[in-house]
Order: sequence, then C-alpha cells, then structure tokens
Amino acid sequence: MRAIEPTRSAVDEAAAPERQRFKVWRRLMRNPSGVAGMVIMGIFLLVAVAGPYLVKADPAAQDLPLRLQGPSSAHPFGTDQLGRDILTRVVYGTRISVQVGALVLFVAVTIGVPLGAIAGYTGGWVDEVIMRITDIFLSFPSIVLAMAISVVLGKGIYNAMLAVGLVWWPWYTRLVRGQILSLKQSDFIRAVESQGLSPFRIVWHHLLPNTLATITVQASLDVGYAILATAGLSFIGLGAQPPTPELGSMVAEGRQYLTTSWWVPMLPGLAIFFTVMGVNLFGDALRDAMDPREIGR
Amino acid sequence: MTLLEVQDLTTEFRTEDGIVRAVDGVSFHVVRGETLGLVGESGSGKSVTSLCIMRLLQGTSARTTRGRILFEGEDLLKKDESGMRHIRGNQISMIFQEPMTSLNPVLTVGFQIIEALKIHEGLTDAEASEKAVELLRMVGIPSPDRRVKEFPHRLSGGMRQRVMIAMALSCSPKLLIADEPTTALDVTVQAQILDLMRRLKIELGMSILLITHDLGVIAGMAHRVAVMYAGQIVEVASADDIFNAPLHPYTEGLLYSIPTLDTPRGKLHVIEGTVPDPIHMPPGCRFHPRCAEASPRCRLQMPHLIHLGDRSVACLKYANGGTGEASAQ
Repeated sequence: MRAIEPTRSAVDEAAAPERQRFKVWRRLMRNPSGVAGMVIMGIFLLVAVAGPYLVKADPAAQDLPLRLQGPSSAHPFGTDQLGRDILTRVVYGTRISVQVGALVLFVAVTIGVPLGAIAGYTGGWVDEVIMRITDIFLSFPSIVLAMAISVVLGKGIYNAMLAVGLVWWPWYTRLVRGQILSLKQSDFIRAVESQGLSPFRIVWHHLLPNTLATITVQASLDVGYAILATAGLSFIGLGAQPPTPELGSMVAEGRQYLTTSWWVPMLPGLAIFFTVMGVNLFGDALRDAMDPREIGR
Repeated sequence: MTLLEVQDLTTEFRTEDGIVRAVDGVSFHVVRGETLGLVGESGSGKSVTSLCIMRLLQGTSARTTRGRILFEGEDLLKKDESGMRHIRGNQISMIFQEPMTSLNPVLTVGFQIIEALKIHEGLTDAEASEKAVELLRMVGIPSPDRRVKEFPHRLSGGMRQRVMIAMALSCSPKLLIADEPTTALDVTVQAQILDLMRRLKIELGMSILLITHDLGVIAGMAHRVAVMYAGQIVEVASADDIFNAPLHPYTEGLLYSIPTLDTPRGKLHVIEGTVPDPIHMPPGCRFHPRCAEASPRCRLQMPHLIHLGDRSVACLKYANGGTGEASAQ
C-alpha cells in the first residue's frame, strides 16, 4: 500500500494541470467544423510564414504585355491589369492579413482589457466615465468610425490596422468589465481582499486570469472580422496603397474586370473568404470547447 | 490586555425600501489569547460586524455611522485604505464559510498562499514557496510539497478549509476572524477543523473571533460568548454562564431549541415567530414579539446592556438592579 500510494498520486499530479487543456483539445478535435477551421487556418499561417520561399516572384513586378492572362501553368491564378502574378500577390496578401489580425487584436486587447478591468473593479465614477466613453465609440457604426480615424492618421496599411484596432477595443472593455463585475462578488476575491492585497494585485493576479478563456475565445472570433474590416478600408482606398499586395485593395482594383477577367478580383476575394471562414469556424469551435459548463463532462 | 474593542458600532445599508441598520450599537471586546464566540441567527448582523472590522464593506451601500473599532488602541475606522491593507492578512485575518469557493480556481494553492507572504513579510518567491509548504504541513495537509503545485479543484472541502486557514495564518496574525468556518463541512471534518484551530490558537498565541450560529461549535471553542439578535448584542457572558445560566430570554430560547440525548422524542422546541423585518424593527425591545416573558414596558422601552458582575445582558427584566420587570407586573 505504502509503496504504491506516492507513485499513483505522482501520476495524478503530473496529469492535473494538463488535464484541463487536454480536455479542451480533445473537445476541439471532436468538432468537425473546428477541425476544418484549424486546417484552413494552418494552411494560411503556413503560406504566410513560408510565402517568400513558395513563390519566387516580386509581388509588384509588372509585365505589361502579359496583362489579364487567365490561369495557366506559368501563372496558376492568372495575371492582373498590370501583368502582375496574382498567386504571388495573394500569398503576400495573406502575410499582410495575418499581420492585420494580430495587430488589430493586439491594439484592441491592450486598450480594452485594462480599461474594462479598471471600470469593473473600481466602480463608481471611474466606471461611469470609462463606460460612457465606450458607449460613444459603440454608438458610431464601427466602419464609419474606422474610416474617420484612418483619414486622420493618413493612408497606409498600418494606419488602417491601427484605426480598426482603435474602434474595436470597446467590445473588450464591455466584455471584461462584465466578467470582473460578477467575479468580484465571488468568495475568493473577498478572501484575497481580507489578506490585504492591493487592488492592482487583485485585478492582475486574481481577476484577469479568470477572464483569459473568455478573452481568448472572443479574440479568435474577432480575427476574421478584423481582417474583413481592414480589407474593407483598403477596398475604399484608405488602407493599403498600390502597389501593396493587400487582398482588399486587390479586390477593389480588379472589380472593373469582374465580367471580362473574373480571376483578377475573384481569387483575392476567395482568399479573404477562406481566411475569415477558417478563423471563424475555429473560434466557434474554441468557444464550445472552452465553455466551462461543458468542460466538467 | 484587550486586543480588539468594538464600541457602539452602527452600520447601515441603503436599500430601495429604506435604510437597514444591520448593526446597531454593538459593543464587545476580545482579550489577547481568548476565543470570543459571536452567536446569532442568520441576518442578526454577525457577518456584517466582522466585515466592518476588516473594513471590507467599501463598494457596497454600507455606511458605518457611529462607533469605534479599537485594535491595539488604534481606531480602524480612522485608518486609510493603505493602512488597512497593512492590517488585513497581517494583523487580522479572516476565514470564510465557503471553502469550496474561497480559493481561486485558476491559480495553484501555492501561488495563493505566497501572495500575502510576499506583501506583508517581504519574502522572495523562493522563500515564500518554502514557507507555503511549511504552512500546509502545519495545517495537516499530507504531502504538502506536492499539494502547493495543485489547483484547488483537486482538494476536498476540508482540505480547502485547511488551505484557507494556512493562508490566514501565514503572517501570524494577532486576531483571526472565523466566519462560520465549519458550517459547510460535514460533521467529522468539522471536528478536525475545530481541533486544528484550537491547536494553532495555542501554538501561535492569537485571539479568535468565532462567528457561528452553531452553539455546539461555541461550546467546544469559546471562552466567552456574545449573543446577537436583530443587529444588537443581547447578552455577553462566559461560555459556562451562557450554557448553564442564561439570562436573556432569547439565549434561553436558543439553548432550549438544541435537542439533547435526554430530551424526550417528539416535537423540537422552537422560538415562536421569526426574526423581525430589518426595515420595520419593532419598537422597544426587538425581541418582545417573540418573548414569552414580555411586559407592556418591553414594547416601549429599548433595553441597554447592563453589567451584572462579569457578564452583561440587555433585558428590562434585569433593568432595576436585577429585579425582574416581567415578574413585577
């Protein structure tokens, strides 16, 4: 008995922290649309990372005699109105989209989460001020506000990302504030308060770790919309400027050829479609897999 | 020798229906090294009193309108928030009723223990982790060096309450406030936890303010007992006096409603009626609607605590030097 006892609990021990994560992973793998989303996302991430090694050409290299060529073995996605290879441009565009997703969410989360935590934990007039500013941001249609901000910041893909991030943070503020409001009533927060911890420690060490799952799920659902919104800004000419191979601006520049040379706007458009769909499928599956009510089962 | 002295403490909550005076002119003291039991039904203001002492009612609609809370001669109500943070967890600690929800589910047991050690004792991470293992061993948790790395969901209720006690005692506080520490635990575990608290109290030489509605717990733990009813203290006496010679009719009623082995089978004794609505407190003595010995005067005049030797009671029966008012009718 004595000899077995420690061994068994040591095994349990090692499994304990991983078990929760493992459970999420297993639940994710059981969901077919989640797997599909992960496969699509995986392909796009691979293309983004390995892009320059996959396609050798310069995305801005023009070849005017070969304008508007249909898909062929030399140019699998065809060429555009300036004779540029569309596959090369889509690959580089995917790199930009991945950056867009990451940067927009980085901006939104860095601004939104701390503000939501402060508002939720402090309460009173601080909460009032933060939440009314949030309301002001949310009362504008987000794409209109993003347009206005990117006009002020100036054209360019990074400014467009920043603009989208700057209209996105209020969602995180609301989300985190709501979570903190309910968490701060919990017994374990009263317990750490009775230990004399500072408000900063309580929020940073004890409250925010509890909101991490929710923030992760929300962020994974938002990546797709962020890419879409930034592509939208580029489409109307505020984001990426020629000759940047951004998928949204490629659709915009190619749309007049839709009836004669469909591949020019359609293939970049499909690239946007698949990226966003992959991310959304993954986000939905992740939300289901991380649902705490489901995890116990 | 007095460690904590609460004087005339009055705390009100603003609600939509009016002002609720949850604690009304409460006075008591805790001597160094003693265990004071604070007994009362749910809603009698026991927990609010303890949260007042810790000043943990900010952010609610509660307002302390009167009174002083002297801890080692210093009025806690006059301290600022950072001064209070130095007291909490360091000089006065608290353990709560619900061990199942009092630990943060996403943090390891060890992390939660070392937080207070780092702040109050200025220990480094390594020193604090070492002390956390020691503390877990002190509260009787087997293989503490492994348990510190575990998440709370792996521990049973009794184990979690031991962890809570370890956290509360980590900085050797002078006063431990235990708010219904065993109510959520089953009976055998209750006994273990109470044993542990008794042992640690002697080892660490601290005082305990034990809040409970369970007179059995009081009998085993407390030196002195303060009985609360509807926000007021109605009787304070040594545990022996409370159990053997209660003065207040409410205390008598409480004791009488505990079934004992030699009580004949049949209906359990209850105190008739219910705790009064806190917004519409009855005039006079708050217990008079439920009191078998109430006189017309009890409806008009609010009794104050009067001292009879080393004990005190708030009942008009004893208001004239011990002459029973009810019997004079």
